[in-house]
Amino acid sequence: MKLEMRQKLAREPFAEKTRKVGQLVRLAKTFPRRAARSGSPGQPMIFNRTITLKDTWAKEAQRG
Amino acid sequence: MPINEPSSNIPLAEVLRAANGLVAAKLIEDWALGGALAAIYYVEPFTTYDADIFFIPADKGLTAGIPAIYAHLQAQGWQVEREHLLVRGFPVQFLAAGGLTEEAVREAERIEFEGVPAKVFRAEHIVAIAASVGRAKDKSRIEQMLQQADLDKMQLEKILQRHKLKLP
Repeated sequence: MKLEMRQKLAREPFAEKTRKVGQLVRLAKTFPRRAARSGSPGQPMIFNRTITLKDTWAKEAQRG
Repeated sequence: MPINEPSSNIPLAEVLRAANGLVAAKLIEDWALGGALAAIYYVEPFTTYDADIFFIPADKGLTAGIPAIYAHLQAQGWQVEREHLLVRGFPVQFLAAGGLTEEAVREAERIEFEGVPAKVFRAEHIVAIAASVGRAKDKSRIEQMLQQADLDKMQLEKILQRHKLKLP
């Protein structure tokens, strides 16, 4: 994604951004293998797995 | 919706409201949102699976009042899974602040999220904390913050110097 687009996303309201985080998690639920292969904060809008969680919420999401 | 009913959205307002409740109950002195969600306040959204609440303990003992915090939240329907408390199935970690993170809590930016007053770490502190932790993902976060957040470079430099840190 182009830097300008990423900066535009960064300037969105926090509530909107947290809503998108929820969408990303749902995407990870739909495409769990793809999501698991991607990411770091340098690959935004995909996956930045925070270390600690082994991941009740994610597991619940993946179960549907 | 009952507090333990799973949500497909991040129940952040409830997390923040609960943290305010801990202050009102005098279980903690102050708190602020840190971690990935704090970074997302400043940069583009990315996937994360928990929320980190850094707090200044009211109880200065060894446990930092964590048992009382857990008991308070469990009484409100939160569930415990290892180091996390779960609200609507969403994991939240309550972390006692000290040193750099305590400074980050005290100087955090006041915001309002869905009508709930809250505090979020300042961008400069997020970068400094990432520099202090130094994992690969922290280095990526620093890069992302430098690219996208409106950082006060002088303030960042002061924080780094004060805590004897360097950017990678």
